[in-house]
Amino acid sequence: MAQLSRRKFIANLSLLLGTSLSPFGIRALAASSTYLSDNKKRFLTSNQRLMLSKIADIIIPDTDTPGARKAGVPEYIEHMLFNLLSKQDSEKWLFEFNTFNKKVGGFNHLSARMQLNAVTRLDDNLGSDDFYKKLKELTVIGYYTSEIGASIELQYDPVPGPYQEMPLAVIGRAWS
Amino acid sequence: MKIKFDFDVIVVGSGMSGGYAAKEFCEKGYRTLVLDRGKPLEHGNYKTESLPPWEMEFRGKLPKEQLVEEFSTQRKSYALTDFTKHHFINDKENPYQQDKPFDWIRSSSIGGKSLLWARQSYRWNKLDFEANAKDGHGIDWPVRYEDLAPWYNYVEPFIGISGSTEGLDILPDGKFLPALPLNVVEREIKAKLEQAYPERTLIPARVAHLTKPQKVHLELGRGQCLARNECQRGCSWGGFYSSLSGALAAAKKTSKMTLTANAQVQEVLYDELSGKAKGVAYVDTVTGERKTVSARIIFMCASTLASVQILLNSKSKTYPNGIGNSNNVLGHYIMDHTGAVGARGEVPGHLDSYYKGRRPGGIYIPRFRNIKQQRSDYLRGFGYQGKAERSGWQNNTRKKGLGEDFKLSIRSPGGWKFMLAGFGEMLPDYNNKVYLHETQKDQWGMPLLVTSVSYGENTEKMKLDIEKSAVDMLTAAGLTKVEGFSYDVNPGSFVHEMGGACMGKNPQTSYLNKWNQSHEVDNLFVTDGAAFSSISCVNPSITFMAFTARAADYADKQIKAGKL
Repeated sequence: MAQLSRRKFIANLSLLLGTSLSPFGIRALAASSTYLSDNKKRFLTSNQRLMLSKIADIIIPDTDTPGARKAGVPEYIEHMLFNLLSKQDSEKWLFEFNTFNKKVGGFNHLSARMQLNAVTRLDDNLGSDDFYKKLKELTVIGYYTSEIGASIELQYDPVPGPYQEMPLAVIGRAWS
Repeated sequence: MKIKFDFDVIVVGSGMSGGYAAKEFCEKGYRTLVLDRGKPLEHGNYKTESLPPWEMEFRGKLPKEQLVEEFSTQRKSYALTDFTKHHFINDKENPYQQDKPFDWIRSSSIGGKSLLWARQSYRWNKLDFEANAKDGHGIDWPVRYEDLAPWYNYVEPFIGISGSTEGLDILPDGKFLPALPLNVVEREIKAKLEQAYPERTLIPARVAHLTKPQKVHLELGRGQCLARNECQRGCSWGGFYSSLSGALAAAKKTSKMTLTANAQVQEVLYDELSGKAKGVAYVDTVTGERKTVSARIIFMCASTLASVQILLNSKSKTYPNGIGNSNNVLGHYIMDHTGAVGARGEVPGHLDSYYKGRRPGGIYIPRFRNIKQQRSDYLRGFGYQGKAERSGWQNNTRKKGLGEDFKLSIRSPGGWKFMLAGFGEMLPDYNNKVYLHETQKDQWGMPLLVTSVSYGENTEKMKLDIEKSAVDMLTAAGLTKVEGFSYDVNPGSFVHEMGGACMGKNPQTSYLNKWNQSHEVDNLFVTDGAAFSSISCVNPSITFMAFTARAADYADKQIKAGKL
């Protein structure tokens, strides 16, 4: 094993694990479709899902790299909310999410400008609304642990080799 | 009289200590049976190794209901994630009782907690072995540092420990591989700290990672650590030491080892005629079948509390309270380190410096208290672990900000931060004990263990000093936004539980003699943490292994001399 090159090791490892190293996005898409294909795992209405998706993309938009929606963050959030949290917590979240929607008079019908304003108000008061606090946290985690967020927006190295100090200029972006 | 034994040696447990016992006996030519209650696990067959977070359903997190249901205690371990959960025991299926809260962190598999450890590897020092005699707490160790030093020399090269040679009495040097490097910020803090406090030292953490594999490692298929720092998922390279990549692999090569998983040892069987242990009884946890097996020598390495539990349950006419336990000291003097206390802060500057690789160890500040002068507020001492690193995206989950600016602010690493976390010595106390529940048993019929352990006043006072000293040092080192922290956590949390079958000179007050051998049943040895009469403030694993190798050598010589 020690004589094997790094590349070969990863290849072997992948074989061992029954996976392969696919181009970016494919697996992220596969993951999000897993969340969605199973009807039992769908909790939000299409309106709620659209609203969630828009908020996530306001937090982390498309720039020179894909944003939250393209990274599968809304599907991730839905999955986490309803499978990771306790039932009580996820119901509370949904109630507050709907309350916010009513308060702004139907988020999906607002203009892009108004949507941005509504989310900006939430974000300026980050910490006071539990549902937004959770949503922001999940958006950030969901994005930077997605293949796009971790390896396109930031850098991901499964086998970094021995620890070495280097100038930031040489490395470029932050490690995920 | 000739007795036919099924095996020469039975080793109970396959973790840090058990693995090493197996290696030693197999290499000396003994037919060795290793029994472990854990599931089978082949080195290299680590199902989440190198998986990126996006391949995991919950990106590494565990559903709350699963945490509450299955991992009610294991969830206290920082190492429990969706990536590692299959290496932890299921609390629901493996209950114990707590008179006082005690977090019993346990492994689910062959290799035990050697797969889950933090790899910190420090020798104990002279003071550690003298402490009980000096201040009167606990049982005086029947050994001193000089007795153990050759055995550190013996196990360290096999384990493979990276570290720097410092020439400190308080933290004796060992046989090291090259140290992991300190980064620029740690070097700066070291310089400032050592200037402000000439008696204190900041050194690279000594960790069981192969920075430069030697022949003995390569022959076992172990290779260089490549800084993934995902150790608890398992490492096919054997970049860090585990029983699976190290001692068990060596034992396997001899063809002398029989390794049986799913074997919950329930008692050591005592032979009234010969006055010796004749074997063990265990239950196959898959079939529920009870089996007995015999051997000339029994080594208990099941982990501190499990070894004590089995010994207490080994009842006979001569020993109604557990084998070798006529003095009823078995189960007493349970200890764990204290900690979850220290300080953190930010380090200005160095924004052009970064690093590649997830370094598996940071820095260590060896004990500096109560060495030459004894303070009035508490006994014994503590050390600090810590590291400097740049903030990452993880620090932005609760930060304000939206859109492109927010995204760009995370694209570059944040500022440098530094943290010190103390690990302190808890005093041995007879009243801190474990015992068997009178009626309740687990699904395989093993009486439940009950824990009754609490930190005393000494650790409370020590914690105050750990926090204050950390704040003072970080301030002296020029950090900003320095804040102390101190959390109340239960004993057991540090997974350094020790004691219960303590070594001592006096058979009336201790369980084992200076060779880790039962005072009363001479072919019974306990070489895991249960044997420890005090706890030091440094991490124990390499000391478990040094004692185990020493005891195996002694047993071998006794056998060859016809005395065992």
